[in-house]
Amino acid sequence: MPYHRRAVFSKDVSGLAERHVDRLPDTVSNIRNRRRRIDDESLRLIDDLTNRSLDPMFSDATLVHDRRGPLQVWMSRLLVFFICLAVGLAGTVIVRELHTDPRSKIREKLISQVEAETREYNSTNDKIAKLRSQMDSLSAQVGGDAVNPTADRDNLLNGFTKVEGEGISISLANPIAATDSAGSNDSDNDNIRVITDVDLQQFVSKLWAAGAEAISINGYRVGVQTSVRTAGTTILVGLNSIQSPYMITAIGDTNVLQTDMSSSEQKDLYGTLNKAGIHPQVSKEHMITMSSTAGTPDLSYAKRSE
Amino acid sequence: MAAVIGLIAGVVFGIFLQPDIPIVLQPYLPIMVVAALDALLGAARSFFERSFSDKVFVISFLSNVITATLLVLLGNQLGVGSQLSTAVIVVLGIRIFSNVSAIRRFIFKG
Repeated sequence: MPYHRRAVFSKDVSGLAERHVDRLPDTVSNIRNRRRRIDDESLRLIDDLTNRSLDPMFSDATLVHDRRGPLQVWMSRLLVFFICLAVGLAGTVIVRELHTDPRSKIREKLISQVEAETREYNSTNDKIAKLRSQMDSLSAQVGGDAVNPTADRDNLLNGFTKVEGEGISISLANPIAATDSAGSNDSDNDNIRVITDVDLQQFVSKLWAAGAEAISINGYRVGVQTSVRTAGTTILVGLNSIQSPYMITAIGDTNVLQTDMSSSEQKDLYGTLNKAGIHPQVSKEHMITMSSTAGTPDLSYAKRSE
Repeated sequence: MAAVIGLIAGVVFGIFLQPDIPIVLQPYLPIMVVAALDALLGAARSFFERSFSDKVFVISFLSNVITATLLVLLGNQLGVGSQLSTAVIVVLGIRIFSNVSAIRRFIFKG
């Protein structure tokens, strides 16, 4: 009967060779065993799994004499200890992981990412403002020309510098029905017309058309690259979210602006808004102060045309 | 003895320290633990059979864990990660069950 040697790479293999079991004489049980062995060949894996689940190396290890020193024995004991420590630790970690909601973890991660990005954006903007003021002071020192009229005019126009002057303010608010049902998640809420980004865009472009020189919405200056758009249910001016009531202020000729923005001039616009229960109020202002735009325009594609 | 103390200490540390495991390892940790449990129960059975050897335990533990992880890793790369991990779980599960029943027979002599 052939016998299988295990652990042929071990140096104790020569010692193992002498310890195989001799074939028994043909008895009834032996014949049955043989038949069973033949059956096993086709289901080797299942048989190995169910009948020989123990690693054969364990029984092999008992055949050779242990010749290790006490230090080695303690080292291996320590190793076993640490392995079991790791298994216990990993097991608890898995159980803990399964009991926590992965979505909340991801949400926290996203929140922290957004916060970090916002912080970076703000710090970069601060840096830009600081560098700009440094530049201004340095150019003032070098050139002696404290105010470059062209640059100053450009900055006023594109919203880089604070401006003040007379103008008008238009205030709009969502209809009362919308604010009442804002808390409840009613399906009726969808039917109520509220002020959208398009309404604000229309007001802004009509104000530019009427000759406004600077416009801000709820205190956020509308610069050359400032967009008024919707993100979800909120309206963004640039990157700042604003809520009803909306206050659009514009610096320019007060009389012209007021006449051009009056309900008699803008019948279509006011008609649709009034139908929805939105009643814009236009009023003159003696002095409006507007801050500069938060960001600076980025030019990547537009080049000076010679 | 060292194994039992280690296991208990590991569970206690896990509960109180609440360590964070790297995200990369997370999909493989369950399969690693199942493979480790298989090695552990095999060792326990051999301990009852008086054939325990820590050297063999360390080797079988490492080979079990590494093989299971590599199989799942390979399965993930081929797009059959969940199926392969099921295969690993089935094989290890059968072994765990038969080892546990052998241990039970040693303890209760039945």
